[in-house]
Amino acid sequence: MLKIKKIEIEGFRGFTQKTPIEFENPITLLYGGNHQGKSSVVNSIEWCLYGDECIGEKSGIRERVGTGEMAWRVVNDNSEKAQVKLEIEGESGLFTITRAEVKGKGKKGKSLKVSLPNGIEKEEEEAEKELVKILRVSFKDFATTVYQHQEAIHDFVIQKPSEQSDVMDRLLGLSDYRNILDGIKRSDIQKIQKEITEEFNKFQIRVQEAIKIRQNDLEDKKSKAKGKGLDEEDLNENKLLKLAQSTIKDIDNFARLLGLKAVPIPALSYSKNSESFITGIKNECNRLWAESPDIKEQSEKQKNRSEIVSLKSKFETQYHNFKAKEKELNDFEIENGNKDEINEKIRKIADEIEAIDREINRISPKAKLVEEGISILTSAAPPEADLCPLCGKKVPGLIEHLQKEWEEIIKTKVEELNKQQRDLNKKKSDLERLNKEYIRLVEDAQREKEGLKKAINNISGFLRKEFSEKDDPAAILSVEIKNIDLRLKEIEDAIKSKRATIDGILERLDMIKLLYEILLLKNKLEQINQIQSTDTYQTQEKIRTDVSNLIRDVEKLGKIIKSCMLREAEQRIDLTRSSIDYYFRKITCNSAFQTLGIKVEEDKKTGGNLYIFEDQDGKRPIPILSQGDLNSLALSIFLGLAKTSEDSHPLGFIVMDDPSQSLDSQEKSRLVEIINEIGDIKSIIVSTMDSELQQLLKNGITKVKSIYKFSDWALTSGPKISKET
Amino acid sequence: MKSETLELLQMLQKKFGIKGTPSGPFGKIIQKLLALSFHEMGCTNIIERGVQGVDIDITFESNQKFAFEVKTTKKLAIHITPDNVQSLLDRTHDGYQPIIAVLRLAPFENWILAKIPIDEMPTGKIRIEKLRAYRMNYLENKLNPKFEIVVRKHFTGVCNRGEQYLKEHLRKVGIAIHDN
Amino acid sequence: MGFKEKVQDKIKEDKLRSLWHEICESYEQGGIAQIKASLDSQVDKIKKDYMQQLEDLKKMI
Repeated sequence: MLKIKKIEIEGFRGFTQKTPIEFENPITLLYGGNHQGKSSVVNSIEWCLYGDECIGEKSGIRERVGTGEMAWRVVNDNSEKAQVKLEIEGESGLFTITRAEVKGKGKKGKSLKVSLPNGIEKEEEEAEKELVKILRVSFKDFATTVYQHQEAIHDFVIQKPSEQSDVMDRLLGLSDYRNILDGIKRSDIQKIQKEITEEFNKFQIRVQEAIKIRQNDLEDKKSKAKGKGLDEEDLNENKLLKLAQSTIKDIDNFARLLGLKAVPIPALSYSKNSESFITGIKNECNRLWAESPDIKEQSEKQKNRSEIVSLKSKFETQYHNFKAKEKELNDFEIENGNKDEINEKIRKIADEIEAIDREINRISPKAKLVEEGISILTSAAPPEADLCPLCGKKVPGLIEHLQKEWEEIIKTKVEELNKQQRDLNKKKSDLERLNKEYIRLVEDAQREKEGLKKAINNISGFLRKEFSEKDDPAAILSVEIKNIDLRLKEIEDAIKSKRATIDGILERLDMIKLLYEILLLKNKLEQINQIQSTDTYQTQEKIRTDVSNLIRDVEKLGKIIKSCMLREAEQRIDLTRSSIDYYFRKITCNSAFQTLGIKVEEDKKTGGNLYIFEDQDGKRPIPILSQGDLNSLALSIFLGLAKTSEDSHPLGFIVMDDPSQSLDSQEKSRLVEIINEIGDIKSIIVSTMDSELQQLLKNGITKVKSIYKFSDWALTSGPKISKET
Repeated sequence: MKSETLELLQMLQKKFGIKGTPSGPFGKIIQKLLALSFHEMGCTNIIERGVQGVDIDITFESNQKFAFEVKTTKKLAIHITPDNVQSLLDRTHDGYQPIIAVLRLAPFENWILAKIPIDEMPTGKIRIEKLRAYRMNYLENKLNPKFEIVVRKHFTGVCNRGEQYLKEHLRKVGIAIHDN
Repeated sequence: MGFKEKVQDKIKEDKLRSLWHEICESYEQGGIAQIKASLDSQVDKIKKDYMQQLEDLKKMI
């Protein structure tokens, strides 16, 4: 049994200065008004033993749930550090537990040290582990079997039956069973089977789809095979090899037909070599075809024909061009005469032009004289105007005469001669232009003639034949084309039958390919069927079976644990029933209850324990109990169990925080009697603000007690604690 | 089972399965095919029941007696009713070992014969996978190949005439049929 | 007799017994969390092995 000997509190919640409190006596009473630090003492015990477990959501205590400003504070507002040092004495000696927390440092600011009776000290993680070993009580269990926190008991009295059962299990010290069941429940062990099954199911769906696709493909190919004359019984390897064999024979025959020799193609001994076999045969077919004499001749003849057609076309074009030029020249000569005639005309005109020139030259000096004479006479005075500028003779009307001479004879004549000369010059130019035209036509005709000659030479060269003037190259070429066409037709007819042979071979190859694909599909489907017999498949089967076995074992174990838990609950209730009944009836003194019975049975839903409270008539009393009665019931259970909990955990003390809520004076008095009784087996720490209870405890407890009065709490100094003797 | 066998069964299900009827004609057909398979295995005293009681009784090697509750499904779970459990429990009084026989219609699935102690027999929706821990491998290895043969052999007959065909055949080979 | 022994007394099969020992050891080492961790690590290994087998099977189709 572990009992608290002493605690030293500094900087923790309501405490600022280092404050020791001794728990040397069986009963310790902490009393004082609200907010004087009493609960801080009780909390410090919790916190020292359990650290962060007693804070926040995990604690299960609603007032300690909150964050930020609402967080349940460990470090006093006026301190930088909280430290609690707890001395606990057991059979092996004294344990000292020191826990500290520095404000604002988070995890780094927290520390724990555990000193063992043998002097060994452990810190941090090691210390936490050691503490678990020493206490063997989880915080939740502590909060319901050691520390009578109002809230935990309150939950018991108002919560649903399944949650009441949870509290009852803990009260009865069955938390190890519950924790183990909880640990198993939280694990992924139940999930794994579902996950594995779903994954395998997805695989099965994939397999089904793969089979369906291949089966559809197979049906399609079988249908095509049937169209090619292959029945169901032909769809096998033997048939494929036979087809391959006959194809090789066909190729040999074909080569012979062409007068060639086939390249030896290895026989197909396994269907898996089909693709390379098919390629080999196709290549050989192409080769034989290309080298076939008929094909070669056909190719050559076609080439020749193309050439001849081209030569003929060129010749005809050239001939046409030449003839056109020749006609043009002829037409020109007819119209304009030939070169000599044109030249003759030019010469004549040139002579005429020269004659006119002479005449003009003859007339011109006289014209000049007359002109000058007119000018002199015009400018002279009237009497002199009639004087001849040459001989000086007077001739009346000389100017008029000269002017008349100029106008009518000279000017007119000269103008006429000039006009004639101009006309003749024009004619001459035209004739010269015609001459040039003529020369050009002659040259063109010559050029075309040369071209024609060249075309004829090309034909001659191609045909290796000399032409005489009587030969018509175009006609000769036409005859050649006709001969070639006749020959090509003969070749085509010969090739047709050979083409049918090769088509037959290619058709056979298609059948082989189709058959091969069918065999591949069948093989694949068979492989899929055979998956079940592979080691991999068997291994996954084994894993699934192992998982099933593991889950079954875990479930079996779970049932055994629950059965043990039930049996133990029954045993403890058997031990405690009378105490609880006794305490309840003693505290409440309610005449309606002659007995309060508790029984436990298996919860059909969860397999866990279900606790049922009954009165003497077998009725369930909880729905009709008053608040005071419920609290009394909660206290009775707590105290009854406290009395009998020696086996469930090693903590030999209990803490009661404000136990007298809703109790009247009589009930408080009876409670004190009970506390006195329990003081025989456990140390009791009672914290209360209830002055009535405090007095009752002072006067009613017959055990040695320590009484601490809490008062005058101040922010800087904490509570003022005085120990009463 | 082989994909070909599965295909045949799926065709039968398409023809004879009725949605929303747990023991529709298809289920009964499978049950009868199972009974025939037991016969092929050399089992004796085979009784096949259409309505009340366990679905099939057999006597196997060394006079081992087994009572089967037969379930066929495409899903991942089966339903075991309190009546199923009661029927099996009733047979245990006559020395029969209770077995849940499950066939899931999916690739690679075979009959699962789960011998669950009657006091552990669960009710409600049970994942088939859970039954693996109780499999009777020896009996399954004997049964599954025979079942494949039986399905292929009787497929056409069943397709054409359904349950009636099988009833006639069961009687012919000496399997007792209890339909009332 | 502690809870460990009480449960062990009721176990008839060796496999269950060793499972129980394993769970108790985990519980002693680290409470509920350790039980979960221990079982989960077994589960993780199983899952990993299984998925590998399934991947190999997928290659076959």
